[in-house]
Amino acid sequence: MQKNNDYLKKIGMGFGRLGEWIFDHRWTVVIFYVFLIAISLYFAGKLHKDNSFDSYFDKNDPTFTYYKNYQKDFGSDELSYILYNAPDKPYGPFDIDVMKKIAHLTEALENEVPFVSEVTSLANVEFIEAKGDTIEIHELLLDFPKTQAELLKTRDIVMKKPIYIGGLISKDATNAAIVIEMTRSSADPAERLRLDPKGGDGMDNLYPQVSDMKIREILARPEYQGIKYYYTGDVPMNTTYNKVLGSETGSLTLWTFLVVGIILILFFGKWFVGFIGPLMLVLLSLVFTVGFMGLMGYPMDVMFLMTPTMLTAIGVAQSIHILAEFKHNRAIGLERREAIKQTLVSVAVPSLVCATTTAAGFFSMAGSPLEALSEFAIFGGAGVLFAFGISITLLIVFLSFGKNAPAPEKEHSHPISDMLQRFLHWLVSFNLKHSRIIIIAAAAMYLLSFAGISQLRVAFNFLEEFKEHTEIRKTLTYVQNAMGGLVNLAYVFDTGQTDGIKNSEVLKQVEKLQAYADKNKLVKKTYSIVDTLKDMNQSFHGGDPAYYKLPEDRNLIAQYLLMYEMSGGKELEDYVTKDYSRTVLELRTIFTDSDILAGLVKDMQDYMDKNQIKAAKVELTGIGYLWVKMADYIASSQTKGYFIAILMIICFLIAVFRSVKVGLLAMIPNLLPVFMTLGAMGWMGMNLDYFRVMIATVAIGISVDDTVHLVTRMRMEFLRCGNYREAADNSIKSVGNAVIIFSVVLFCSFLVYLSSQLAVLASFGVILAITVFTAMIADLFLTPVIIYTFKPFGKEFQVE
Amino acid sequence: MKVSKLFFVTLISALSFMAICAAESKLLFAEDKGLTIAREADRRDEGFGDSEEVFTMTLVNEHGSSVKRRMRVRTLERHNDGDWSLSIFDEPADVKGMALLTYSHGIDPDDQWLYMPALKRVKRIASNNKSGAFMGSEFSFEDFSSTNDIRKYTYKYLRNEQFAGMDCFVSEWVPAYEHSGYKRMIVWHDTLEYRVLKIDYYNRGDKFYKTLLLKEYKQFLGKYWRSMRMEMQNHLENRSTILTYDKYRFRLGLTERDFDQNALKRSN
Repeated sequence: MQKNNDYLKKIGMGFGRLGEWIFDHRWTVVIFYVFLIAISLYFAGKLHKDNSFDSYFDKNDPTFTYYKNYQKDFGSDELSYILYNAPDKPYGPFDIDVMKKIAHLTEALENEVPFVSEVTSLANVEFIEAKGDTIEIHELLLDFPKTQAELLKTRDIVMKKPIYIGGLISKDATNAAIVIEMTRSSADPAERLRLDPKGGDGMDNLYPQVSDMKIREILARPEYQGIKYYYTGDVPMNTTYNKVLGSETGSLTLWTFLVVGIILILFFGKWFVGFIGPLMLVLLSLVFTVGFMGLMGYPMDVMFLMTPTMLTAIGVAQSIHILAEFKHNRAIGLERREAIKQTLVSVAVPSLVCATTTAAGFFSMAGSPLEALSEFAIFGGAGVLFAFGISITLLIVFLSFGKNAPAPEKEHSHPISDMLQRFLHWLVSFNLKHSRIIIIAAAAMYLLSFAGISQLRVAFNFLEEFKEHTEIRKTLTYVQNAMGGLVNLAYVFDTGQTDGIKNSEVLKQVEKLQAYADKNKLVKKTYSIVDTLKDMNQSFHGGDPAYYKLPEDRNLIAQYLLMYEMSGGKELEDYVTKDYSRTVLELRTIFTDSDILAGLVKDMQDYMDKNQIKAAKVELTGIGYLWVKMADYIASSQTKGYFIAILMIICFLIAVFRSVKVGLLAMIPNLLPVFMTLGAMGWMGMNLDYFRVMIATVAIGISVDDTVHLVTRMRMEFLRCGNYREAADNSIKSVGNAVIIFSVVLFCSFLVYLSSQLAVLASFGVILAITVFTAMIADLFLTPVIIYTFKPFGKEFQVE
Repeated sequence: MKVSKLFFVTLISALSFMAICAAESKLLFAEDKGLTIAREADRRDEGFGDSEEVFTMTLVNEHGSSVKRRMRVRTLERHNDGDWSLSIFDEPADVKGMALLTYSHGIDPDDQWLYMPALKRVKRIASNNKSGAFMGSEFSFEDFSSTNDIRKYTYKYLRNEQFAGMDCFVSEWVPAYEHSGYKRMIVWHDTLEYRVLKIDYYNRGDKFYKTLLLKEYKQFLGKYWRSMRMEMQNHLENRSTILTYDKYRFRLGLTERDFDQNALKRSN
């Protein structure tokens, strides 16, 4: 048995010698860190922000390539949408004063808002009109009506044109809309998003913020008042998102520092190093992480938002074991230098294992096809390792200052420590009395969790990312109820040949698919070339609604299209390539869960298969479909990530304890909290979104830390005393304190996410905090019971 | 001391005034010369009476595959207003027989009538917007309808330079009509015959958009130069369109009757 213990002890002794060396050469270490900080800051300067869809997708991903091609052919599908109504006017949007204001507003938006490709409202929408022998394609109100009666006549014409209903005007003619199409998209690289090409990447110089600011400024002008506006769409949503990211990265970090600082004061009292040491550690690990991101060319995206809080929590938690052990060693009368050495001898190895397992939890997500997630996995994992490196070097430098002579303190003089000790004593006796019940309860929990996990679904809804009280969510919900959908699903029909779209067979299939989509409740409006052809056919037949149908004759179709071109029609450019080889059918759906959208996609695919929609190659794309694919990727990478994380951690534990049995047994209390969380989410009908999907891997990595400290200590104690119960009891009493502080720090830090405006991050924080808390309970109650029930360190023996 | 100070102030003021005048006059000279070049080019093309041209349009997409369209255009020269033209579409088959009659009016909107054989009807079409693609090609309607009328642009001479082995005037043209798809064009005329050899187009966002090269010039009736091959390259989308002229015929005796609405129907 003694032999078995040698290798851990040897590594521990190595760390102990490192501690002594640092004590003797602390200024060398400080200079080394100054050098490292300078390098990190240099690379941090190269970091760029990227909140675009680009940051999620691998550039070689075919889904993303389809999307880029679609944008190239038909323009960006990003838009701003201003719904308006005038409830106090009898004719609402068709009140002549309201219409005049809208006409001016449309012009102002088109002329002044940066990155606008086109602004469409009832005032300027393309209108195909047949007057006697003349066919005209012009803006609806090119000759602005002089009287209210004239405008009402126009209203009657508009309300007979299906092409406008549900898009620009609601069925009951009470709500109307201004659609602002943008030239840029969130998927564009940062250099295309700058208003002033040399103005840098500040928020105020980038799309969509610059467009959003201008739109809001124009809407607030006195000349456009008297109308109620509801401004929503991609531009305000993405702006809000970016602003939240910009402001909350700092505020979340500050809050976390504050929370952690208070906890440290509570546990370590007036001990200055106990307060400043962990915070410095965290700050530096953040600097190194940001430098690492710059070095690797990673962008600062949405995932970075959670990084400072997470690194703070993990970094502080890591340092607590070192600080607690050092404090204990000083309290028992060791000289400072010796206290440092002994601290590292007993704590460095488990800390290394903890850091490695936590990092492994992160690294397990590195294979995700979602680029943002995979990069987060790498820089997050690296950050954890940086924190460990700092904790056994720079933190030791902090501890090295002060008198070297022994300065015994009353270790248990702190009221909270006293309370914890009393609780731990109680815990030991509780565990002894109820070991069976604890094991049975754990088994039952596992079973219940598995049942819950089977009900878990992967889905997310960008609308629900924002908290309910936020302006952006309230407006979007209102607009969605009043008018229609804003999420775009695009079916691109590619004939592969010039003029292929003029083939009536292809158009009939577009029409068929469009008609099918129109029946779906999720789909609020559809757009295609077929609409324009039907509209032209109707116009060519005196506006007779019976002719609102697709012409049968290919020649007539081709001639309508040429006539449309010659008449200056422009709208079709959004739906057909100019060589007529590709056309797009766009579906505007409501904001809903991605798995519900996936259901719509599948339903449409089944319909296409069943009805032989094969006249052209059909590619599905659009922002809505990117969401569906993201959810797919999350689902597939999640299973793989969990498996890898568990496997990596088992391997570490087996390697550290040189025992398969110990490794596997140690996993029981580790996996339980994670499974419980996932199971509870399944039971409660909660979905796994792209934040929550990380809970399992991050939580496994973190919760294993407690177990490692406990099991390592139990093993040491067992090898010393030869008795499992005594070993478990002693371990709980000595490490339990740190385990509790460690968990409290993590718990409180993760609750800081609650302050975020993003509902998705807030809920992630709460769930992660609960998981950490459950992990602590499992470690304190279950780990000792498992050890003295299964006796994995060998037979008990009598100490001579 | 005071006198010398006054002298310097006067001298500097006089020099500044002269500099401003020089700059102003250079500007005026540039505008005048630009207009003079355009006028001279226009003058040299006057008097052809009427003409008919037959051409093939080859559209080449970004993958290099191509498709052809064929058209005929009859033109009647008018002296007090813009020219009249009748464009007849021969290929592709689905638009065969379509014909467009245009009475050009300088910077005012043109009068246009279209014959659609599928409906056997003539429709007057009214539109100011000529910036759309012409039959899916890289040419827009305004590329065909505008360059023959001096009133449609303002002109500024930029420089002389060699192009295609010839000495050229280089001028900037800015559309004077509404709804153009271009912010400006840079035009190369050879100094000898005032033929347009090249045009660079800048879109409304002032991005370098397209280049038109006019090649294989032939002289007709000992006076009128016509390019037999035009190549339009779209730099933003990497597509191109080539116009190859099979024949030009002049002074066919066409009259106003050949350019009325009935002529549209019988144009085949």
